Amino acid sequence: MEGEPEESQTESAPAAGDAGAKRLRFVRWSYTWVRVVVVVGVLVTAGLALISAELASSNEQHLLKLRSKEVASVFTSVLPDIETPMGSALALANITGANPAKFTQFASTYVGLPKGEFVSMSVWRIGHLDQGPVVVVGDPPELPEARGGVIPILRAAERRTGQAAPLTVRGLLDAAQRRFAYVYAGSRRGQFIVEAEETLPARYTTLPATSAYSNIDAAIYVGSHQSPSRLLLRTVAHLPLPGQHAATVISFGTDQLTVVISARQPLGGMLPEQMPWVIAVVGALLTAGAAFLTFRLIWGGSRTQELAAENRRLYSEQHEIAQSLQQALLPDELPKIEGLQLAALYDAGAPGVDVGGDWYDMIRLSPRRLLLVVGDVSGRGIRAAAAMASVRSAIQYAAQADPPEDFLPMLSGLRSLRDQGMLATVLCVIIDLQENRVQITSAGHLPPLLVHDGRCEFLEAEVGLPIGVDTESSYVSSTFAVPDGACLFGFTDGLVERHGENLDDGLERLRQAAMRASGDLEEMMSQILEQVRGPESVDDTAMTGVQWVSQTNR
Amino acid sequence: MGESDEPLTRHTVTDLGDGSFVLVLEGELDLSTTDELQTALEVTIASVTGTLIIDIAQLRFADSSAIALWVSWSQRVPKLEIRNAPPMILRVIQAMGLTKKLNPS
Repeated sequence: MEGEPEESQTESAPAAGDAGAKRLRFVRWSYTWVRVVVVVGVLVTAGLALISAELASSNEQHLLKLRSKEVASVFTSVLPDIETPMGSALALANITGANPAKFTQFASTYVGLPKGEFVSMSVWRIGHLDQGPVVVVGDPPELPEARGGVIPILRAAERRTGQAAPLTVRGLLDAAQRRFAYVYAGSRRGQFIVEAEETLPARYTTLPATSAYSNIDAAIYVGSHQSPSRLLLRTVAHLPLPGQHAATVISFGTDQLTVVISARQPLGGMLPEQMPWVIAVVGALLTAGAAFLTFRLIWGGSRTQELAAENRRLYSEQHEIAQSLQQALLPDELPKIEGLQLAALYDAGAPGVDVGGDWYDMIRLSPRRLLLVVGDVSGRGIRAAAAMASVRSAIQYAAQADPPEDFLPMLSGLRSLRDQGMLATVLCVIIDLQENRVQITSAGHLPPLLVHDGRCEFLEAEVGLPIGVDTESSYVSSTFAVPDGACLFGFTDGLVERHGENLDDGLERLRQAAMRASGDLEEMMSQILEQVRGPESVDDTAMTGVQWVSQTNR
Repeated sequence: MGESDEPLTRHTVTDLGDGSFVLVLEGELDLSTTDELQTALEVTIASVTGTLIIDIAQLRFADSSAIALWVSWSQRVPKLEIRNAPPMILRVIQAMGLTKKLNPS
């Protein structure tokens, strides 16, 4: 046994220093993996958050642009309302030769707050712009005092007369009273030009909270530049507008308006705005989780391996203990007796760790008598082995004084059997060395097999109760004569019992195998064991063999 | 040894009312299941004042541990009878010289 070192043992018992270094390498290796997971997680999270922020920003920019165009269109939509009365006024002037009474009557509907939108309307004669307005209704026009004077503007309008020209618009932003000036020359060539002026709201105008534009801030400039001097109005106290903003430039008559807006709250709602943060937080949590999981998996896996190695070690240890124990419970050596060949074997059956309950013994009772015992304690494991050991030693002791039929009933009183509810079957064979006779006593045990002269027979003695049932039980011995050269095999049920097979079939298999067996006693027993035993048999088996050597060989 | 989903040993107990009980065993009874069965039936065995009838018609396999268990019960009840023993088990009971103890039929 000590000659077969267990593979798993050498593997699981490395030097302590070696194990320490291995463990250190493993710790480094596992932390490297955790680090990789964290780095990958952080990179992926940051990437996703950036993409999300970029998307939210571009989406917001798009919405702001749309909104700014919408705001701009509010301004351009007022142009027709300005052009219509001015066109009518121009037509009236041309028809009436700019009759002051008629013009004043007409224009007063549109001039003068609060009913009309204009503060001033005037008629100018083409070709005589230098002489000033022909008729003025309302306040005096400010346009002539504006930078560059009225003349260039009117001249330009004059040149466009007869063309499909838009309304000339001029923002008078640095005048005493901030006004928009409109000059209309008409689409057909006439004698007059009409000029009208409108006051502007204060530069800083707050929008009512109920307005459709209450969620945005805006700055509107006349012209295509965001120049402070050209600021028409703003909804914030100080420029520039806070945060992300979008600008739209649209034509406003012959001039242009620049509308810049920013949103007080994200137009796309709070979610796209917050999404990068949500992603960052969720990503950080997932990364932490993944790192933890990696850690657990690596260490869990290592723990499993450690446990498996530990189990292998424990198993082989237990197996070895079982083997040693079994060996200790069986005879060290068999007696040497002239005229007899003796052999015995024990097979553990299950490749497990259990100690079995089968045993054999050969006890020299006197120069003339040899007691041969084969027994089987029901069950396996330490309990069975302990019971077996006590029965075996009790027999060794009792057999010195009493014949089997007397000591067998007493064995039932053994506490190791009674208290555990165990049974033991025992076969006792007393060999008379002078007379070639055997006396067989069976306590619930299978009969021994006698092989002689090419014949095989079971020596059926009366079968008494197994040991452990009844201290009052009685046993009867039977005596058989054995011829020279005969072999007698005692065995336990592990040899012949197979799952799902009748006991008699097993006994017959044994008989056939014994008939075929050849060689010396030990060889015969090996052949029998190999042929009779079920391949997957889990029960242990004990077997004894006695061969009466022929007189001629003595 | 074939593993099956169902438990290896199943048992049912019927109280006949006169202190006798019928125990029906099915499946297989061996070393791996005898302890469990013994624990499960401890109270029943203790309450038998008549005959303990063990019906093993449906028991496919019984090893020496099973027989040892029945013998230990037979020490604790006035009478024990094994009924409907399959030939294989009957033969083992005979081989062990336990016919008078277990009264198999």
